[in-house]
Amino acid sequence: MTEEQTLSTVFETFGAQTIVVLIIALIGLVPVVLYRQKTPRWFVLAYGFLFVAAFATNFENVLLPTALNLTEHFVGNLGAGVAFAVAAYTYRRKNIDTDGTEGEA
Amino acid sequence: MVGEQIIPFVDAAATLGFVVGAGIGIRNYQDTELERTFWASFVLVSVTGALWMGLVTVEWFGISGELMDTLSTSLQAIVLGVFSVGSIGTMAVVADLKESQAETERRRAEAEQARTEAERSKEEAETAREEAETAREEAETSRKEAETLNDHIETKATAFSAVMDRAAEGDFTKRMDPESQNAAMTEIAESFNGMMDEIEETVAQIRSFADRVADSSREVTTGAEESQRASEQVSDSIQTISADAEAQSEQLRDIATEMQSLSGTVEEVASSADEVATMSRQAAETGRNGQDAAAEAVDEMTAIETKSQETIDEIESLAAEIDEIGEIVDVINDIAEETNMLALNASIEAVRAGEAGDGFGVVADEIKQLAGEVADATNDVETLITEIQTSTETAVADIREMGDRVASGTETIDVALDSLDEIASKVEESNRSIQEISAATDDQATSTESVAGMIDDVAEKADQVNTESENVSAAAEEQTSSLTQVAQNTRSLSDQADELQRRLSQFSIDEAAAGAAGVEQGPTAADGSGPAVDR
Repeated sequence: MTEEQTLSTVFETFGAQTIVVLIIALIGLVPVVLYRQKTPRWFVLAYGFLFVAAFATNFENVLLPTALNLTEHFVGNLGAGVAFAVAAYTYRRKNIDTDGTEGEA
Repeated sequence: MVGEQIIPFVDAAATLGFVVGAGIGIRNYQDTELERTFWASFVLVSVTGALWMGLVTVEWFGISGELMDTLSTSLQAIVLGVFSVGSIGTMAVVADLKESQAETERRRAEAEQARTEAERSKEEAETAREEAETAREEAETSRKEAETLNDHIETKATAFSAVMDRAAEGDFTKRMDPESQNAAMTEIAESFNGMMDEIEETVAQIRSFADRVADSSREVTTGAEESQRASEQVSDSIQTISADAEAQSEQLRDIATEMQSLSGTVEEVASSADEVATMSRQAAETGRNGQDAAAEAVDEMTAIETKSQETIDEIESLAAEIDEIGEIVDVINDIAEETNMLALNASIEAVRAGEAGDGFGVVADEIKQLAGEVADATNDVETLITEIQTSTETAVADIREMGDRVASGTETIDVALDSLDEIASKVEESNRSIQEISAATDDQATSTESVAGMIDDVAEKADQVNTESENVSAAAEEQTSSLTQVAQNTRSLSDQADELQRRLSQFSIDEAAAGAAGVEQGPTAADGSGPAVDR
């Protein structure tokens, strides 16, 4: 099997766009991991939920389709939405409303 | 499956979360300065996320297709990339900037503080220089003032020396003039004047005290002499008490001897009472035995009475039977008379019959003889019966008399039994009384011994009192001697108080001023170097 044939098989299995999403998610992990100490934890958590959603979206066509589909929506999507709202709110409460300088990082 | 059915609602909720995050992010963007870049990126990501979730939600309602998938995936990729690189990276940069800003602020504050410190040091140095200049000028002025003051002090010292000489001679009425250009001289004058006031007041108090001591010494002398006399009286009284105590002790010893004798007598009485109690118990026992014997005698007498009644009945029955025998004997006697008559008739007939009747006549004689013997025998029997009846009546009378006597004896025994009961009861009462007397006598003996012991103790105490009285008498004599010495000492003290008064009179003080509680300063000279002043 040639390299072209192999890539064709992978794209047929996962889909080209979803693979791109997974790659971007993996690359995006790098700054998140590097700056996790300086970043409030709810923002890190929000990216974690986005990563879970990207992972589940890619692999639900390969294994455990139902479980990964539910994980994508219940954990990844819902968790990311809620985490975004909570992250913005808690940052405001701790650093803006109280006029403090202490962050969660 | 239920989970898959509510996925559209979950995605819608996620969309709402992104929208809320975008709204709060916009407000945070407006309210911050340093983090504005981050919040702009965050709002962009939130809006993109909301669009992405909106497309995903719409797909569940049938609006789908290749374009929707492409848009959804692209938005997801944008969200991931922009959030990770743009937002998180920006947040890290903002954090670094914040730290750097804080450090800069801290250093600026330190520099400001150092500048303030330097300015303050400069001002302090300027102030110190001005103060040094002022001090130099003051020193020059002070030197001139010191020269003037030195002259003034010499004048004041001369005046003070004169006042001190007067005070050394015993005149405490002079005072120093405290008015001076020098505070130390003023203080010396005031202190000296205060000291003289106190000395003057003290001398006045000592004079008053010496007067009181002299008066008290005289009173004490008088009191000591009275005490001496009283002590002598006490000594005499104690000697009398000692003699009385000795006599009392002797009497108590006699009483103790008498009590011991009484105790022995009481013990003998107790012993006799015990013997009487024993005899009383024996008498009571004997009385109870007599009661029993009397009861037995009553029983026996009753049996005898019963038996004699039975005997009387038997004798009367025997008399009745003898009467019957007498009647039978009368019948036999009648038969014998009839037989004698028949024998007589037969003899007559035999005589008539002649020889034929000789044999019949013999038989008739024999019958006649037998009838005569029967008549004699019946007469004897009647005689015997009569005698027996007489004896029986006599016996019955005797037995009745004996029964009467037995009854009388029984009543007498009953009376005697009652008397014995009463005697036994009295004896028992006497026994109890004697026992109580015996116990009381024992108690009395014990009490007598106890009283004898107490009297011995009292006699010992009286001896001790006697000894103590002698000691007290000796002490009283010593006290009298001491009081004599005290009287002599108080007379000596009175003389010394008089001497003290005489010596204190040599000091001159202002009595009126010294009598006051406070020290008042007298008039002073007009100028600071004037002569001494009087109070």
